[in-house]
Amino acid sequence: MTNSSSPDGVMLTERPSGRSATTGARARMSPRRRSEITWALIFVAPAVLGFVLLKAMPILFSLYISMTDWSAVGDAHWVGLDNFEKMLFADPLFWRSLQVTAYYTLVSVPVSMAFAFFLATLLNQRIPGLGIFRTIFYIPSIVPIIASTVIWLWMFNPDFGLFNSVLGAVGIPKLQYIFSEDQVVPSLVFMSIWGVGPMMIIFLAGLQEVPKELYEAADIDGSNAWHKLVHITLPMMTPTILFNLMISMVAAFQTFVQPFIMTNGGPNNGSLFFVFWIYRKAFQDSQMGYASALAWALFIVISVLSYLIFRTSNKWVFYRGGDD
Amino acid sequence: MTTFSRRKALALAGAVALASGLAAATPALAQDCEKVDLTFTFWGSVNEKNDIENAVKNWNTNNPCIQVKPMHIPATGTNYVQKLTTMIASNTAPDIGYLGENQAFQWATEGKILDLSPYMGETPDQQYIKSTIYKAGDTLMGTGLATGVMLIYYNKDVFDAAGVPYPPAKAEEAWTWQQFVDNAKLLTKDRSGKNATDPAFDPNAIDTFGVTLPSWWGGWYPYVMSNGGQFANEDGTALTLNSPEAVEALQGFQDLIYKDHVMPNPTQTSSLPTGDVLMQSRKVAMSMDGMWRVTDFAKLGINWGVGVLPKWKTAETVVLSVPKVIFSQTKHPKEAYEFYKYISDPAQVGLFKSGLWAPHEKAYFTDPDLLKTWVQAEDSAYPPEAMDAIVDYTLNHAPQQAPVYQLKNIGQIMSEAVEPNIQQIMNNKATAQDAMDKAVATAQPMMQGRW
Repeated sequence: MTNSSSPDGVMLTERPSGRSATTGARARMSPRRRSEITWALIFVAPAVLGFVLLKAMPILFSLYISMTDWSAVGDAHWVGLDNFEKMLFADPLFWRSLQVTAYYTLVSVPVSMAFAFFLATLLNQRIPGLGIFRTIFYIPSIVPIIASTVIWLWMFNPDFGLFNSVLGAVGIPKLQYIFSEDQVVPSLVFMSIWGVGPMMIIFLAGLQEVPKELYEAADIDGSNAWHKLVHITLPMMTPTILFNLMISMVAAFQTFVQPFIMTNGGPNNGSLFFVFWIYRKAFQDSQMGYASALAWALFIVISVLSYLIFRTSNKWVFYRGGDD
Repeated sequence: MTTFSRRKALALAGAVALASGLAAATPALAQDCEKVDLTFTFWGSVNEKNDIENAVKNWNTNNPCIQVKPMHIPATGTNYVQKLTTMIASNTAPDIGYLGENQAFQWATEGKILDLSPYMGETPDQQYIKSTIYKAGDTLMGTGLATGVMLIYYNKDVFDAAGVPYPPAKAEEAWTWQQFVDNAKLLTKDRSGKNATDPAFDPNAIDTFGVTLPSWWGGWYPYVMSNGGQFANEDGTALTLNSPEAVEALQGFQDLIYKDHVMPNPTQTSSLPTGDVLMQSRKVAMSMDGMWRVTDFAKLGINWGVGVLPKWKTAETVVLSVPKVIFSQTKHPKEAYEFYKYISDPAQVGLFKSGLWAPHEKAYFTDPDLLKTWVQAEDSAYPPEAMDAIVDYTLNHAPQQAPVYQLKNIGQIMSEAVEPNIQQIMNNKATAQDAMDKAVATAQPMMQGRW
């Protein structure tokens, strides 16, 4: 998925033809070739077995239990599509948590991508102490998420937290942040900016791939920095933007730690993120069957969105040496 | 291998000798019994962990045939449940363990919890405090590990300075809600020292709050009951928290924060330390909390006391407990039950004397000799008025069980219907009437009757 959108796409498309030549030659395979294949299979086996036993089987099992009323400790009874029916028509919290999660995704993804792009552009300049700045902006991403979440919990504190102290000093009234139903998601979006380090690094790599000669040509034609950004940098960066968009969209839909550590889904379900809710259904209410159905619903939502993004990507993503 | 040297042979011989020597040195378990191994899972703070582990160690020394392995699992969030769920699903359940009410009732109906009726006799309710007996349908899951009653803790120095009488320790003398509010106002001070009855009092700059009440159900449900309200109807098909009695009590709760200005709001509370520390720093005069906090207050070195809750109509409180169960996967139910009794015995576990646990057998509340094993022990952590505010209060003024003992599907009803709407009340986003109407409506499809 990620490879096909990378600038290396051309390289990858050449490989299958090489492989088909081998397949044709299988009939007259030399012993040495055969031994190579045996060894290849042996070396590949751990990865394949690991995937089948630890990933594929639990995934299929969860599909099965999503159609049962299993409580994790008792017997499972087949209920067909009842769980899905209940979710769509009889459970207001399904829509509530989907709405909370979609709202967060819709705001946090563009905001953090824009900020990461902005930082990457700054850190792509030749300035003294560049390495130090790059390190500083990346450090938050290597702080364990639990630790950084607890730090933010303190900064959001309405009475003596950092933000209200700063706002209070310039005369802005106290905000409630994560303690208010309306402000909790925007506050968490604000917090998500803190973790843009990896995205920034990917943007930075993308920026350095942009051919210098394009900028030189633009300089000769007398274009200013804005023109260069809009007409050269952004188009050349679209594959990287697509990659970051996909990754951060999926990650935002799977937000869990913030509600788990900071808000417990409150106030009044204002931060009832979908994955947190799945967890609560599975381990607090012991409704493993329903929780599995919810997990599959999330899978469908993310799949549909990914599909839509990919379908539209050929309209706005520019691959160098791609389609021509 | 063929080169089995003399040196190697010597080394081997030495090892054999050493091993047999070790075997001889271990204490003789040479009793006529088959050794039985049990696993016991529990949660709790470091102090509790040490205390329980000591009790288990004593047991293991005295019962060489029944060796118990204590397994401490931190109860942060749903961590304990998650671990237990996994253990049961993989057929490696512990033999004995603490278990949250929500899971206990559900797992009992799934047949995962041993029915203790054959062990506990026909009339456990005569022997034990009512709220510590757990029954799901026909399954007697057993008792809680201990009991704890909801109380008022107070700082005597703050009361003396404000000239307010201490909260009564006898249920018969309990303050009315109005007296409680009036006294709380006299105790609440802003930064310039004015109390909440002063017209110039500044509610935005409060230095000492009159009271804090917990926002979980233990903090508000006693007042609903005291006013004659109920959580749900007789057959458990509908919540009744929007009845006039329940709404009046919950509105009183909201008014403490936003009208009377004697209690911090939830946002303020979240940034404040726990009740005992608040009281030590004189930021609060009274704090409603469970009896289990005696152990914390006793360590503060302040002049503190305990009293009964204020009343609306009847002086009533709620007794809490935590189910302690034997899992039906155990291979040794008899031995497990022996240990089951032992671990809630005040003579064996120091947590009773130190004020974390109150016993769950009625005799411990009436028999002078048994009272000496906990509240009246020489090294007991309890203040003198505990005989009224804890012993008499638990035994005679907690006539009703909390909803969690009676209503099916209580976990979901609480977390999806009740708690979000209680938060609306506490955050002043809705009146008690509106919020509870909404809670009742939301809970309707979740209602599954009573046990």
